[in-house]
Amino acid sequence: MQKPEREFVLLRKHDQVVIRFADGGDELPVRLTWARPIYGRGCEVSLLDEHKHEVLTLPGLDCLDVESRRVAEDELTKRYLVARIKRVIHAEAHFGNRYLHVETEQGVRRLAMKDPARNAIWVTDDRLIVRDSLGNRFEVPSFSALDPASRVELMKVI
Amino acid sequence: MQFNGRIPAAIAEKFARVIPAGEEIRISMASDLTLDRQFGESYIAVTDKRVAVCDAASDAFAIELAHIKEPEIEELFGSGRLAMKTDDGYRVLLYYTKSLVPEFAALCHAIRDLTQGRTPVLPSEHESAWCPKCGAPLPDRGGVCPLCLPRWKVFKRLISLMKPYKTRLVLVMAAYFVVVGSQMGPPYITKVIVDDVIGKKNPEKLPWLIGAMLGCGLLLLAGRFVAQGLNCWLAARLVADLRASLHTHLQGLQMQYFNRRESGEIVARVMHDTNELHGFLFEGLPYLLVNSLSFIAIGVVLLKMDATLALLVFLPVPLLVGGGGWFWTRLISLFHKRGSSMDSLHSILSESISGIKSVKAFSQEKRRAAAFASKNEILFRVGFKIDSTFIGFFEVMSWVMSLGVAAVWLFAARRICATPPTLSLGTLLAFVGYIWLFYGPLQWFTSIFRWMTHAFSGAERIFSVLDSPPEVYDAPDAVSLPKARGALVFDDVRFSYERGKEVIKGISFNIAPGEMIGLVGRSGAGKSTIINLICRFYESDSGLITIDGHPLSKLKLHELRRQIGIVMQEPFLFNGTILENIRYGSAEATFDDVVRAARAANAHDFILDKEDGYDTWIGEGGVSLSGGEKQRVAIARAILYDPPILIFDEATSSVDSETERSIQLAIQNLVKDRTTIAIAHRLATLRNANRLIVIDDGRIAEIGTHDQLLASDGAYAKLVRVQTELNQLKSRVWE
Repeated sequence: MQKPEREFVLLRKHDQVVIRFADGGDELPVRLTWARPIYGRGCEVSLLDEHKHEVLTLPGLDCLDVESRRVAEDELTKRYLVARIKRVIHAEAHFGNRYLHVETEQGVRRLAMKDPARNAIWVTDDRLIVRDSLGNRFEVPSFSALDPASRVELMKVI
Repeated sequence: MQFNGRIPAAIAEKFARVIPAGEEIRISMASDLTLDRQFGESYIAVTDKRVAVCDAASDAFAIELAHIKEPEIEELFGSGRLAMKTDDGYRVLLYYTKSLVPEFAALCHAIRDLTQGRTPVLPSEHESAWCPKCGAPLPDRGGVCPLCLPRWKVFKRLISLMKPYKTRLVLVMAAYFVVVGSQMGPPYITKVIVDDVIGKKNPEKLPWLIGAMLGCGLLLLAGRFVAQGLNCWLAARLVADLRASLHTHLQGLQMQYFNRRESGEIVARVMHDTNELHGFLFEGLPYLLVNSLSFIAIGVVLLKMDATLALLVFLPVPLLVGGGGWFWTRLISLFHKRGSSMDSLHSILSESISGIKSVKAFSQEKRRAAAFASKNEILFRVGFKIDSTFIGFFEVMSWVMSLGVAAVWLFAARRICATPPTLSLGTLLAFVGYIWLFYGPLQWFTSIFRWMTHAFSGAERIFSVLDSPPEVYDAPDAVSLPKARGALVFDDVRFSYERGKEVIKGISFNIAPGEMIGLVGRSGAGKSTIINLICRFYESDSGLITIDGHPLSKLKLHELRRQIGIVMQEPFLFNGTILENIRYGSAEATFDDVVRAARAANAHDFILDKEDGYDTWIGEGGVSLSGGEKQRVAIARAILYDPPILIFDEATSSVDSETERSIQLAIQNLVKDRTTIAIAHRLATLRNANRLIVIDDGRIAEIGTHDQLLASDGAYAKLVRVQTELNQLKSRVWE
């Protein structure tokens, strides 16, 4: 994927991100989305208008100028809540449901998960994304970096 | 989270700085994320004049309702946010996790009501995402907490289902008592034979004792035969009753119930959960009952025979029970893993078979084989681990049991050899006889309790279906409507499938009897939802829908649906013959009636062309019909049903032009003198409509005839232009 030909900058106006093209025209409010939020987070970013139509897709945030990149990163952090698990306090399976009590970078959380085959995704051999029964997302950025007790707990249910 | 729950004093103080004194907080709520999106709490307070938010770390800020153009909730990845479109831009108020989506949707709705001068209505109850008792997250919002499952309650309800069969239930219990009693006999008789007959060289008693032993055997046989026979009947009967109740109840449930669940999940309730329950009632419960009784009875007998020796027998009990518990805990997680691996393998296998054409077309056979092999390997490893754990456990448990036996022999033999002996040889043999009856079931008790919990959770899921509210078929004040004229009125109707996400946003229109109306609009505009509301598959959130002046909710549901015939884009044909399918809604119709309907639907000719004519079996295992043929069978079904109101929901969108022409002719036969509502993407098919209603984003954009709407050059004219351009493009591409 190549960098778009038209020059632009991203700005934050109130709580909204807007795009301003260098060749003129109105500022357009845009919604930033990772094109592949699970397997390719950090790669392609799509900018959609208020009708959810694509304005443009970037190969990554590196092609943005410093200020636009800061705006984009800030907005993407707000739009994608994936709590990073630091420690698994307890895990158990009960009637096919999995219960996890975890400590994340955002705080401590208890979650229930159904059907781990579908809701626990090994993005790589070491990185795991978990979707709980309500749609909340959690991430183990590196399974091997977890403490041994957390690894044992996690493997009881995954 | 509660609407209008308690606001901490520190937060209330912050709110007081932005909400003038005397302005009453009408709605307040806590989010489960702080304003900087950490797990914690932030708060929102709504008055008649403003919306204010804050959290422990930030000061409160407020927006006046008068400046709000539109409140909205935005679903994000792993969270959501409440934002306001205001006069000077877009303002995000706060974030929440997915656990609070319905609550914030309702709050957004209430704020919209306030901004538009309406009285806000908050739902009186909501389905919580957490168990109110233990606070654990629930696997299903508003569902049962498996961690707090009240086993006793479930058991009581199951027993209450056996009320009609209570004589059999009493008999089965009595038979199990006989089984336990007759099991206890032989070891004791052995003691008497050894001590009184052999020991005292007194053979006179022997025939009686052997007779008693044989009698015990016979009683055991008869008891088991009666108990198992009756138990088998009771378990099967109860489960069959439950399955029938479930099916009947499911048919009557509201459509909302089906929207929130996958069909596989519902089928699992009816088949898997009932089978699980049957398995436990048939095998687990008798095992538990007999062995618990035996365990108590043998314990008492052993203590009575020789208390010291009995204590030796009891020594390995904690090891057996504890070991069983440890083993099952370990095994259960392996079982879960095996289940998940099995599901993955299943899904690869089923995709490989159902998608075989695509696999071959893209030459992906090797890749599929590799994917299958990898999952198969995982399943092998888990399976091996389970089996080896089993083997190891049984060997260890046998060894533990032999400890008890060895201890009994050691101490008993010394006492028998002592002078004078303090124990008889018969007592020792009786102990050895009882010991295996005593130890045997212990290692299984933990597994049986787990099995029971599992089966009871299935029962609880079954009960949760049975307890779901059905459609209200006949309200107490329901009016009868034997034959409608077909006058339909929508008056400011609003509707949302999910709380707060309105898909019909205040729609009003009138349809005269016999009028043909075309519903036009983009996908997702709300056309099919209007049809769903007319058929009362769903109840509107507000507003009024009437037929011949009667509100839909005040009509007997069966009679209402008797007035409406519907032909869908992909009509559902049931397993059965073409004749049965045409006759589906009109069981009394004669063959002549069916043929007349089939002729009117332009279906008669193609049916006769089939080898088995009207007896052609369609559906699973039968002849498959083409899309156009299915549609014409569905139209024949609707003609035979003879309703005053007809609905076509994209009835011709998936067929070729020639078939469409044939179907259009059939439809023309059908719509005469009936109120007709048709949805079609091919706008040309709606040219004959008396009026067209253009729907856009849940609202009516335009109403008028084809010519009027073209002349007004609005949304409809734009749709026509796009379609014309598309047709021209298609013809250029294919030329």
